[in-house]
Amino acid sequence: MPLDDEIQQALHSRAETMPVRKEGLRERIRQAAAAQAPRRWLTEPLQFALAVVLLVGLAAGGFLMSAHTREPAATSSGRYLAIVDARGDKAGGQVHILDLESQSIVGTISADAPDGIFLPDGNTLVIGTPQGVTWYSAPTWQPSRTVSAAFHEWWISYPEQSAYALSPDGTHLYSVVYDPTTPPGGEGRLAFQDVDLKGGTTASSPIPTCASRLLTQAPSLVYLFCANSEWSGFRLTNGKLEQFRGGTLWYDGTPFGKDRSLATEFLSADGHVVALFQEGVIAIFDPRPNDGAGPVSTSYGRILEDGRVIPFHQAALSPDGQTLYVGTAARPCPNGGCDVPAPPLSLSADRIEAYSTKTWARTATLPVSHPFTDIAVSPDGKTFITVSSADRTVSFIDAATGKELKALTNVGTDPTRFITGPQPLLP
Amino acid sequence: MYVEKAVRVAYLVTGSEPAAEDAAQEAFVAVLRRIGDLRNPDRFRSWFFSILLNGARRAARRGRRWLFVPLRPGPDAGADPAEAAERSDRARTLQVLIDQLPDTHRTPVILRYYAELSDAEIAAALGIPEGTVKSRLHHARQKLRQALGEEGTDLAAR
Repeated sequence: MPLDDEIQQALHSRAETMPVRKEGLRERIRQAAAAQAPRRWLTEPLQFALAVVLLVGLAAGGFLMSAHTREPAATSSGRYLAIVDARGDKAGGQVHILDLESQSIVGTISADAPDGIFLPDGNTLVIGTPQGVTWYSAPTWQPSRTVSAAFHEWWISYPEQSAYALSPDGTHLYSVVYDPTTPPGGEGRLAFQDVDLKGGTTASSPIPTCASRLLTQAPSLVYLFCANSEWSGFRLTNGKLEQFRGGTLWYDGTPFGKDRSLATEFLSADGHVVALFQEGVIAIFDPRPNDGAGPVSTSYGRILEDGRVIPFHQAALSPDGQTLYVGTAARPCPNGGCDVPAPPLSLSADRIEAYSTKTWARTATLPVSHPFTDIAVSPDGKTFITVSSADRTVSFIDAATGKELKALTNVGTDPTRFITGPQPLLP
Repeated sequence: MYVEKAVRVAYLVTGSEPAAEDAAQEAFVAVLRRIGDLRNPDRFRSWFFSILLNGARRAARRGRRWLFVPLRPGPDAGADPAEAAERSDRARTLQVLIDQLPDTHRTPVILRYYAELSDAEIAAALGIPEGTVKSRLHHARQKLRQALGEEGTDLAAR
């Protein structure tokens, strides 16, 4: 008998020695699923779709551009911040330009499902929509150039959404694209466009995994992440895209993204993936040494309060990268579960906690008067800027005392998050 | 069908019935919750088994891994009792040899020969390149062949 057949037979014989109580197991599964009370709402199609947007879309921290995700709550690199005003990244959205000096809104740009980034000069805002990428510059905020791009359709239920990344210098645009004849769910390709050549794919490569998120902090380097923990790294060398790493990201024995509890994530300027989990874990991945064959070495911080894990909501790095500011809610998670974000109310934080990025020790806690959905830090590190979609309010908060310095009310229709500049370096 | 297959795969990986049930339960609950993550339906099998294997790893970390499972005689279809006994011995020897493979080789073997996943699916489930899967399967077969040929049933008695 061929060895292959023998192996197969041996494994079948071994496996069948285990009595499988199928009905009992099915009942256990049913009970376990039911016991996760907050997830009952996941069974509703609309709510499930919302969950997809919340749980995956929110996991956005370092996507420099990604229309289906929350923008990283990060330090502003200059005088301006932008506020995305479009719940669920739907069509018909707007972007408001916030002047940090005058603490006022100085412009509004209409954009479908917008996302974007400020270039390092702090005066140029690049907004991506499913149709392409457009440059806007201070002080007029009129469009100065547009690069059309094809972005893939990755959620069957959200075909208008896209995944793409723009290098911090605004020169390299990466996207995942599909042949128009490929049905949703088909195999994709990573495409690179040299922005200075004004569009047109100049390099592409098949991708080995799904890619729901793209991160880049350097022109020739892009990371693709999938919600199931798969990732791959591509380098642009001599006009060609080459995969140089890939595998599964782990932290503390658990695959990255497991249980979809990621609250936010971003790529630091030095190439570390900083991930914050709803369970109160901060995981720092260095994907570069990953040989694709095993767990990535990680360091992480677990945040406990009175013996209870508290959830993260939003995060922002200080300009020097020394401190991570995290928006959290003091109230316990509804129904006793924090691993899945509760419906939208819990997405508002009501305090800001500061953590050292060296030790991950908490160094400060500041309650704030307006629950917020996103947070940013002023370039001098002295002021927090928060936005609340529920209150339609933007607040300026003294970083030392937590005192609200100014509040802008009646901001847009649904201001949810900030567009900022590239991420600072971690120490 | 998947419940039975899943729990048996987890059993082969963990060697523990409770751990296998835990892993299968965890995998199905995760799948129920995360089905929306699945962009490509063709990848369901690899996605599912990656969740299952992760659950099995966690179960193993809870201290249940490598519990010794006494070998039980498997079904024997041989007509000749002597031949049947020899075949049965060889099958049990092979089971032990497979158990003794390093985890990096054993898991692909289980996924290939029991779960009947393709190289690409195994690669996706384990998060390793397809070439690595081929290489590990090749080395696993080579080790098994050598052990069967050169050391025979001695290994089974270890």
